[in-house]
Amino acid sequence: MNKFLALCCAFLFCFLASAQLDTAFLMHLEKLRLKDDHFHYLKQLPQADLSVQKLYFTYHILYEQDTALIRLSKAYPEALDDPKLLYRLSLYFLPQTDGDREKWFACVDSLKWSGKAALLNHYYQSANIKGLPFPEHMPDELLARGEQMKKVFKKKAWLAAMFSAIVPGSGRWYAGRRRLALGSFFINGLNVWRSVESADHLGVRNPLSLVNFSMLAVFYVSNITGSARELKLVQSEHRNQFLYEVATFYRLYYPMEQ
Amino acid sequence: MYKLFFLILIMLPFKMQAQDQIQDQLLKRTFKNYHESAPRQRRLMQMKDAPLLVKMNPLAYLGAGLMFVYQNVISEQYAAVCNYETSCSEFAKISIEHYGLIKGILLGASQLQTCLPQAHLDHLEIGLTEQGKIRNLIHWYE
Repeated sequence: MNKFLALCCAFLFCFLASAQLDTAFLMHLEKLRLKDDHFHYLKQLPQADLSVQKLYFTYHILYEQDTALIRLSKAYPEALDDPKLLYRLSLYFLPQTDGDREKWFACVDSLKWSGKAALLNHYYQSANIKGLPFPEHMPDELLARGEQMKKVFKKKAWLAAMFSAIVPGSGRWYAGRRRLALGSFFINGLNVWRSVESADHLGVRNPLSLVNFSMLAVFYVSNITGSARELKLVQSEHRNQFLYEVATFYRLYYPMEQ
Repeated sequence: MYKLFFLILIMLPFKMQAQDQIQDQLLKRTFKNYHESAPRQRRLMQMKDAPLLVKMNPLAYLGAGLMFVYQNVISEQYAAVCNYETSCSEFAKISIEHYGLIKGILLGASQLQTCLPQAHLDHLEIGLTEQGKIRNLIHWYE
């Protein structure tokens, strides 16, 4: 009987020991970026455990698997009740520019934000929603960039197109691209001069004149449409730069807690 | 005296080889961030997903051929380097494949008139790649 009890205890001990998390080993795997070993180790842990799901979040952040992170957050939203994890994930997604940031903040929209994670969410929303003020006591380092972003957002694409229709390149100047505006103005001016000269000397019906006129038309129309599009790109660029600076600031001054 | 001379003569190539290795390592370390990327592959414009009218139109193939000749023959001769991540000709080609002829030509012409040596100064840090080229992803223009 005693032997049987001892065997049961040994079995239970071994069973529990094999399912226990070896934090030091995990940190070793993270430090050396042993992706396959890291994944196999996580697979051995009990999958239904919420703390293990949080480790999967850390794994995907480390190896930059954004799609997996978003999928995991949809499957295990309860793991994101941890404000530290939510802060870490928001800090990770804030500077992304390839669309995953929008997916992330859309997918965690219904969560209860608190602490610094709520602050990051506020920054994200203020960069995307027109008229939403910035958080109170915004750091000076971020205020200048934020104000510049708001100023650019006030500009209208149709105005840029209209300016470019009147004076080629002025729409880009309005958008904030001064050098590109000069280039656009110069090229369109050159096309006009060339077309006028060829029409003057060769006649309007000459094939070369027709080629020149068609080139003038293409560049003129592309200048108008390009100015409107350029303004939207400028706005997007300012938004991305602002959010990148927010993420860098908070990563520097409020590093992620383990 | 002659023995010393021959000894120096024999040891000299080894010393030079060692110096070459040191020099190579120094060069690699100094220019680590300026590695040359793989040569660009300029492929012919694809008509796979184009409508039947475009596939049957010989002018489409003429245009694709002219673009191919420009990219692979003319452009290589004067080592054209574009400020944009996707060069102007490649961008025009991809735009025409993606968005059709009219929008593609307008996008290409728009980029062409903004391709200046100092164009990257008008962009913020986030809009540039690590090599200082201006980012221009095709899906931004939808």
